[in-house]
Amino acid sequence: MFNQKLDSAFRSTCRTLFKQELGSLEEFKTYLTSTAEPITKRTSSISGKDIYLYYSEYPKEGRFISYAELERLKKPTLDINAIKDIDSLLDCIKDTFFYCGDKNLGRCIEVNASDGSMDAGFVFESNAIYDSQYAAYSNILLSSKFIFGSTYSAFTNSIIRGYHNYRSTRLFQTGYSNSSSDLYFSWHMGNCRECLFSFNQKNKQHMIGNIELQREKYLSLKEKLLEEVAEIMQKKKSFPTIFKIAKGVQP
Amino acid sequence: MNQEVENALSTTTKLLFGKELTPLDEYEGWLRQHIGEGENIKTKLTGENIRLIKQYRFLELIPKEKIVSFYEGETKASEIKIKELKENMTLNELLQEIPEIAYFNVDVQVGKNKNNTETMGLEDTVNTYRANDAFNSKNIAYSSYTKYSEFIFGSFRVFYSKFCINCYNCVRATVAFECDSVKDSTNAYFCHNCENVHDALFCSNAKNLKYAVGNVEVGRDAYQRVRKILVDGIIKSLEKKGGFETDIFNTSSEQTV
Repeated sequence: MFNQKLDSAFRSTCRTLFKQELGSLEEFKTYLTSTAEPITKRTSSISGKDIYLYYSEYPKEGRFISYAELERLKKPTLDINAIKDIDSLLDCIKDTFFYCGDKNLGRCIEVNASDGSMDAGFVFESNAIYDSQYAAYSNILLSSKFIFGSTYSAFTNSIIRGYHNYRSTRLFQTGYSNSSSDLYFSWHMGNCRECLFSFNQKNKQHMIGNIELQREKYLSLKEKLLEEVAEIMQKKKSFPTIFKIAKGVQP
Repeated sequence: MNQEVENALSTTTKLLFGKELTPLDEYEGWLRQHIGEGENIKTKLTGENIRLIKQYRFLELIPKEKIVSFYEGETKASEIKIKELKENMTLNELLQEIPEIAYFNVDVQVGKNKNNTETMGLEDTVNTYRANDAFNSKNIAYSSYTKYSEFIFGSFRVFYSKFCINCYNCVRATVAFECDSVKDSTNAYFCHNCENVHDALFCSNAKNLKYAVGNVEVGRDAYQRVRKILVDGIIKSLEKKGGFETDIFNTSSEQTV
């Protein structure tokens, strides 16, 4: 169960992006969980509790342990003379080798159902979150805040469904942006500001569909279009991804 | 083929196993078993050939015909605009125009890069083959997301490391084989969640060990004997089958022999 503060952070991020709330974080779970690699869940061999791991390659069956349970492991023993070949080597270590989950180190506060984080706060079902706060259903974040359903972001703030963004702020359904802000449904934008539905641009602003507008015309049309997006999201708790839009899918 | 990378593999296998093993492509399946699948595609925009490594989940969601190369993204794709932008355009009207301009460049190239074959995502990197997101790195193949690392093969998320094969989520690992979540360690084989372990085999959730097998320090001679058994078996299997059955993700598994 994620922290109430995380839900508030999500609502706040929606207000930042759409000037209104869209619903709760719980209501948007399905919409947000198809971006980043899903969290890998296993069962602790020590306690039977759920534990979480940051890579999907761990075996379904195996020996798993939570970081908090490591102290409960017995001191290992080894009959070195019994090792004659690889089979006997694997046999000797099989009772002492455990995969460890829930490794959230440094100063972590309210980091739940997550693995591989450090110095993170208010995180839920996210992997490898470093020096970041308020993140859910995301992975591999560095020095970022208010990130939901996003992957590979560094030095970013206020993103919903983002992919590989760097030094950028206030993004929705946007990927591969660099040093940009206020982008919606956009891709591979470098040093751009205030753009909607725009692709592969550098040093641009007030752009819709790769057409530059005067500031007032842009802001007026942006407000109208985002109002429509927000209305659909409030009703359906979902919106076609930028990838589906590229194929012509309508909400 | 990339000769520099081939040479790098020889150097790395010599350090890890005492024997130079080549060619690289003979071990492709084994090196890529826990890395995203690679696919050669021809872009729809100009027919350019690119190699996509689907390490990230969202790459599966992008329609293939909409993917462009780095060069296409910087040129042709950036010049395409929607036909018309009306003042009171509705969302649905606008969405109908977007497929014409929506092209996805999933490559990043920054700084000075040289001799990178079929690799996407580069920053100040040289000598790579079928890798992606290689930053400030050198001599990398069949790997994804390396930073400040050299001589890395079949690995994912490896930072400040050298001479690693099939390693994942490691930081400052040097001469490491089949390791996951290992930090500040050297000469480590089949280790998971370890820190500051040196000359270690099959250690997990351990710190500050030397000449260790299964988390037990056994002394130099005993360690060398067991290491030889392991390495001889690995070489034999690699030469005969192009792979080794045991890996770090099935070491603790009911299926392991």
